[in-house]
Amino acid sequence: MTPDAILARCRALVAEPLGAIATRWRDGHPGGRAVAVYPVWAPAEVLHAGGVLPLALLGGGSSVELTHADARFQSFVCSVAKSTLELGFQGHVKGVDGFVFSNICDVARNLGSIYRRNFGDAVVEYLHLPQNSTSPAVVPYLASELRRLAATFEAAWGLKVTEPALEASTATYNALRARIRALYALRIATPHRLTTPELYTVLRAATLAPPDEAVAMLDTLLATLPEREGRPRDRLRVVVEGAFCEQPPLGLLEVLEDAGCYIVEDDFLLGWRWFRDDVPTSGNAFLALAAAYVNRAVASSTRHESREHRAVGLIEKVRRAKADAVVFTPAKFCEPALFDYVLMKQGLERAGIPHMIVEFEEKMWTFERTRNEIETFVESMLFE
Amino acid sequence: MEEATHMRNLSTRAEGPDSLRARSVGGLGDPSRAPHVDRSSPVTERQYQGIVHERSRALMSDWMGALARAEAEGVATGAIMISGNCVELLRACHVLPMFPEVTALQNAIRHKSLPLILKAEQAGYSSDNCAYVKADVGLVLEGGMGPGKPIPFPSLVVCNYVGCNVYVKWFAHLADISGAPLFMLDVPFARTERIADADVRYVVAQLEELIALCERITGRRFDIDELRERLALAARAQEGYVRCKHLTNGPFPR
Repeated sequence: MTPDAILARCRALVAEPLGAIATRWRDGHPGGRAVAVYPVWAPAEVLHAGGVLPLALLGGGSSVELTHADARFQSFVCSVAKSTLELGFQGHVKGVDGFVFSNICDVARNLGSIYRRNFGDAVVEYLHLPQNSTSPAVVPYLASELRRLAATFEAAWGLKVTEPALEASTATYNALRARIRALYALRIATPHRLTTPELYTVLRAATLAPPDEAVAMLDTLLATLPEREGRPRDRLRVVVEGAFCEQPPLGLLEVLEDAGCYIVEDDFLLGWRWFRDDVPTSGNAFLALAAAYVNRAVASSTRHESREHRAVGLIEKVRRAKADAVVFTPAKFCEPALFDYVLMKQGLERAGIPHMIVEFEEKMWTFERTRNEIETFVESMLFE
Repeated sequence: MEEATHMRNLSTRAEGPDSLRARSVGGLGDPSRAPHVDRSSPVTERQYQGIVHERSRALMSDWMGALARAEAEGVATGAIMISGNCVELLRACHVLPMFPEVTALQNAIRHKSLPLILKAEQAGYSSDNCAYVKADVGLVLEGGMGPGKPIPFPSLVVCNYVGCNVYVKWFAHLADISGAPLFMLDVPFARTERIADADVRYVVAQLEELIALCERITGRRFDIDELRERLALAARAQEGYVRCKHLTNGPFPR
């Protein structure tokens, strides 16, 4: 299958309502369940080990008009929370059996409660992911939290999450993450082979498919991309930072590229790229996953890391991707991104790395002002 | 923060001859110490009425004075949040608590926040970021907090993560600005009908680590009996506060 054929399939999958994807999967897997997980990270491995299909719950973007959610949220709340709630009210997630939220921010924390109150047919779970990164007590605590999540779905649906099954699922998701890392490495080396909107579509599709199917798709893509035609262009290599929860519209990514950028690294769909390397699959599987969350996770605005300055992870990303600059893209009203911007900006300035900031909303559809700002930034970099 | 709001509300409440406050003046402690109240003019913000308010004001002044002297006297200070904090533990560890939220509130009451907020926004904070944080950071940028200032940099920053996630960001920034070590006291939110044993073990382990850190910073050994005594005093104060709140339930004289 050619890259273009793969991309066409990915676009079709991404365009489907989450409920339809869940229903189709359940029809093909009698007794199976589908659980949608809100950003950023959720233990898909634990769900998969119970025979559940984890699906990324990423809001409605510009595909849903807010007709109910606005009455349940303040105006100064990020769009992804409202559109995610709206998906529920408009029936787009009908067919999904459960939802998992966590404490990535105050809005997400409360969104879990709102979902539970309004959609009682589904099993809605809330995870308290640790914000302490140094205590010896963190890993045992998180392991118990992961077991608690498993126990909730076991009790609800009569399934079982065993240690061997979790070990196998961890290996499966390790394989998926390895392919994603390889795809990013390919783009860092040859960004002209796959545009950012195309990369994003592939990743988004991988979060909506069974992981073994996603691995197979990525294997084919990785094998065929080096032969894909494409001419390298004289563009500014940038890292995009801040779109780890609310997802940027494809139009924004297109504008970034058209304005003269190669986006060589980013934090889109960060939760599905959460670990820097493989999670160990020997020993206690729950403890291994918990330990990986604490010690092998990428830098993120939703997980406090005491052991290094917030800018360290970003600077490492810039160096690894051989990027020239950083474009911060916090979502409107996203407090984790907007707060971390200050520390990261200071770190970049100390390191002499140029940067700019562009706020976005998932449902934005005009980008002229953004285009002008980015073109100006690019020109200032390329022609100074 | 709740007490400061309560004080402000009491000081601006309409006064009547048979009001609870009028009857209670002199009824709290020594009647001869009840301040004279000028009823010919509107109550101003600084007219504290009743011994309780004067005592509250004295407590605040004593605390602010201790903060101002802490650097010179070698007293360790610890920034901590209001909601669900472990201030009794800090006190038992001989760490003088600082409350950035209270500082931000006090500046807001005195209409001093806006320039501080704008200063923080110039440094990169978004207009959509929590204004309490910006007021606090702005205070540092304006030279209102730090070495030699009435509000010193903390010796320790304890983020009791039981309230909002902004707590985490705020104190991470405060630790970065001040250079003080940050201790993240992660308290899992209530999400099950019964508090899980694993949650309790997690929090207890962190509290023990916090004690060890305080001992390293202060050079003083932790005494569990002192903590017990402080907790008993805190419980008594809380009970008294609850009884005060219940006084507002009436019945009221006509």
